[in-house]
Amino acid sequence: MSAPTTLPSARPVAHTIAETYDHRGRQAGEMPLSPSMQQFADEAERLPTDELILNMGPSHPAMHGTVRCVLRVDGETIKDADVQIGYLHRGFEKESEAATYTQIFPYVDRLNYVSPMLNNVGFAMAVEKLLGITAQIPERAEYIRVIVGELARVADHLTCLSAAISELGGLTVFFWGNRAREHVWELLEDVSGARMTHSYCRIGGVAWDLTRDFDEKCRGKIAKIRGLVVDIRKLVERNRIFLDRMEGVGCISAHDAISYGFTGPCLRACGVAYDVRKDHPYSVYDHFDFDVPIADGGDNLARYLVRIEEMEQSLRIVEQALVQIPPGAVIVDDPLIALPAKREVYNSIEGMIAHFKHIMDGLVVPAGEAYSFTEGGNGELGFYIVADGTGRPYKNRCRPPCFYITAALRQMILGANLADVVPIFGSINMIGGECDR
Amino acid sequence: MTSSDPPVPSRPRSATIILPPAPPPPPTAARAAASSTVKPPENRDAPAPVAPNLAATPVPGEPTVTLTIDGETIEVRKGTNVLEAAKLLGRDICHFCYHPGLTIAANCRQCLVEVEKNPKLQPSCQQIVGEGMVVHTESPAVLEARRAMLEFTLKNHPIDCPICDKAGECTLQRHYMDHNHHLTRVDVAKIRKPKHKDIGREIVLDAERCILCSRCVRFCEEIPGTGELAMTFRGDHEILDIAEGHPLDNAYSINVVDICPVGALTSKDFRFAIRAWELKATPTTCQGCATGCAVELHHKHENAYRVMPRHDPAVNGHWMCDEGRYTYKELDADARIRHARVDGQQVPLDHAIAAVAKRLQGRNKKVAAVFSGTSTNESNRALDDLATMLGAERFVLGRPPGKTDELLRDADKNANMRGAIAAAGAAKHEGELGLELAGRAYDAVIFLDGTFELSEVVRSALGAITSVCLSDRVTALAQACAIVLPATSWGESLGTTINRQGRLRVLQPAWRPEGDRRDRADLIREIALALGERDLGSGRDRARAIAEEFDHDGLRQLTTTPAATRPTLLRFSHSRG
Repeated sequence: MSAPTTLPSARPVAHTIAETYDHRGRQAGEMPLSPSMQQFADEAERLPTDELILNMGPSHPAMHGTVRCVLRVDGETIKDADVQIGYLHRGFEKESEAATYTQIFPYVDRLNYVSPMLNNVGFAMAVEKLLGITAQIPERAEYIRVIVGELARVADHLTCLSAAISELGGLTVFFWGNRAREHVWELLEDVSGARMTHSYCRIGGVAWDLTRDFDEKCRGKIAKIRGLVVDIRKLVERNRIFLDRMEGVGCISAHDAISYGFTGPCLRACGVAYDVRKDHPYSVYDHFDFDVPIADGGDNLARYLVRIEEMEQSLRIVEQALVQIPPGAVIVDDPLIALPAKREVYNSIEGMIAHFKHIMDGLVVPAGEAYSFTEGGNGELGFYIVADGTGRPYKNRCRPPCFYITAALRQMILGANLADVVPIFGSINMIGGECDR
Repeated sequence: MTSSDPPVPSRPRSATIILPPAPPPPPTAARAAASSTVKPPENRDAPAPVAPNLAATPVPGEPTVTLTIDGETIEVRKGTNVLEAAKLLGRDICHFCYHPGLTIAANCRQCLVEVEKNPKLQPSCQQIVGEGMVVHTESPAVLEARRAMLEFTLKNHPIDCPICDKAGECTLQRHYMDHNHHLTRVDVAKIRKPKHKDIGREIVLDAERCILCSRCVRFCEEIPGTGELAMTFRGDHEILDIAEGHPLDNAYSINVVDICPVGALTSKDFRFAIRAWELKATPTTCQGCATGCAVELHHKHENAYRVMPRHDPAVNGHWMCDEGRYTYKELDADARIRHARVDGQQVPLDHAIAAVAKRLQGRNKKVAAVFSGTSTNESNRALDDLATMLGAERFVLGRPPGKTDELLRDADKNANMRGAIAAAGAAKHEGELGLELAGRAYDAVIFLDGTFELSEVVRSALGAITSVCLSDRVTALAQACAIVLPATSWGESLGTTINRQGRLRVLQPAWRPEGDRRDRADLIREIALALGERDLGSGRDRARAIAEEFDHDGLRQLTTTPAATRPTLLRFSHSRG
């Protein structure tokens, strides 16, 4: 914010506009004001200078995923904020109750839609926990899940960073970041057939194996992604405009972050080294050598740095997984869980019935309840499922990580300048589909 | 039947008759002065078809037997079979050929269980319970027998699920997933048999899908007693067939479609109409005749697709007649009246109600109120209240009599003639209405239903007076009346009827009424309010009162809990073959 303008001290300090200048810019007193000018001057004297209510969103281009902030500003300073979510509510949890477990995968794709693979994995693991088959998932399927999940995490962070920086004016970063993300999507499209809404996981494994040239192609893409990330870092990390907007802006303490229920990069940017993959290792994450990056300060810059480093760590995991991945099946060998092969479906009544019952009735999950949590793009992504012994969940509750982070947005923007709302909001990576469900 | 079959347990052929409450004394002099009256039909002894198999639930005063099934000891009625006894414990022993309403054939060998001290596995449907018997239904030998039998059953089964009408409610599909779920080991060609063979008025046979359980053969022999179906040839060339020139066209033939565990027998009416899993089922009562069979109406959105029997031991057992199945065609969406009409013009409902009130008002207006044997007690009672307010003459009309037999079909084709007569009290019948209308005895007439087939004389007489018809579909009578109010059909109404036994039967709404359609009792309530009379209460209020009057828990729940009327989606309900 620029310093307040002061009038030259040689002149007596004017108290109203009318005393100072007329409409031609001449000083008052030099000539009488015209009646219309006098009226303007009177009105100007009554001009309100108190606080203003300002609406930001839900259709504001920088309020990703349609969030509305009702701000009370005093000049440029935010005095109060009312963050309103729910504009992207689709009733995901209710919808789940009318769908078979397998039919829910397309719905979870649309939770955090910038990293659908991680949602796929998280949901599949919750159902597998209920079925008690977590230990029976084929090793190869677990590795595939790790590979596609970590690639999705890279896409998630790239989306967050490039969108946030583009809103600060760095449009080049947006283009470069999206080019890197395009590499991820090309890989995931090769694997799943869809660019964004993959629906690639299945209860008990994944839908089908990786493509034959995946290994080679993936290594090539990793190198390209690394190059683009380095380019982005060179472009912004020593840029004064960028640093001014990021450093010391949108601070939250580790204590407050934990109180709000922060997880993921936003919590690690407060110096808390909590990562579900490390602290509660699931799948085959304990087979890999990777670090959990943390940063101090809990400000925009810390969140940026954590995400940049996490991308590198994810790529490291993918590289290791590509080396370690064993051959074998990609889904459990259980006719009550896995769909029969198409060859059986079209050529034998047994396969036909099994396929039919799988699709129409869904795979039957024994009655019970389970909470399963994984490290999503924004933090701990949890699914709490209550099963009633049918092919559909009785209740499917999702713990969306960014819901708790968005809850702290008010505190983070209080006292900041109006222009800071955009980078703060951008750096917490609120995803409407996930937050509003 | 072979000599090894157990004796069919006998059961006294009697039915409990619940009499309707005595009709209230006629409140007006007009009613008492009615010259000739329609009398309620006599209380006929019309028992439900007797099932040959005893349910396992102990009956007070009857001897019982104690046995152990899978470690659980249970006391059951003497003479029942192990399969029924296990059902009491919540164990559904998988079976194809056993049906509680038919004699036992024990030819599918799917329900084999282990009985201790018995060297071989026994068919649980045929095994009568014995004192101290120890039964295992989940032992390794039983599971292996079940799996192996299913493998045999599937050996020649065609890969028809995508084009089979039974898919989604097929017992074979369900048992395969529950008890076999192994892939095929057979690599020889399947045996071909006749497909889509027309074997009767209502039925098409696909012999390839048939698993030879003989339920349909036994049904035709035992229930209608016509015996058209038989098994011919032997081994895996055995097929179900009819004798040349003797088609399956008895009055109960579609029941074989319901009891067929696979899609071998399909109904011509339902074939390829809709997939079963898209349907929702609403339990209700058949409106085809005075028997009032317990049925399920199967529908999707606002369209009905079929009527299927529900088990009601006191009324219809497991069965219903073919005639009753076609009653759903009355609910045809194309013929529905969705908006009120006054003098041929479509008007908003409140305008039509105001028009009715305006034309009925007047000190010396002589009004005829026509009660209906095809409408619910609720609407007939509402009309009774209105007729009292107007001092109207009462008539009870219905459909003409039709075919009847000893089993379920009643000659009286009105589902609620008893209830209508009870509501109307002493009333006149159709002939008198015609004479009096033709003789200009009345200034106005209100028809509770539009289904009456009135003569040309009567219909032409309606042109000269105020005629009001509460109708759910376009009929000749509705078209002849000056004012037509859109009423709900039995697919959309909550209400009750009284069947030939005097039992209270409940109608449950399957979908929300379209357009301006309202329950008849609600329409009459609006008319009374427009006339400046007291509030008669809604149809639901009347149903609640009837629930109290008959002490009927099911109806009480329907009137108080809206969720109780929610239909069941067939897709996720258990397959019912």
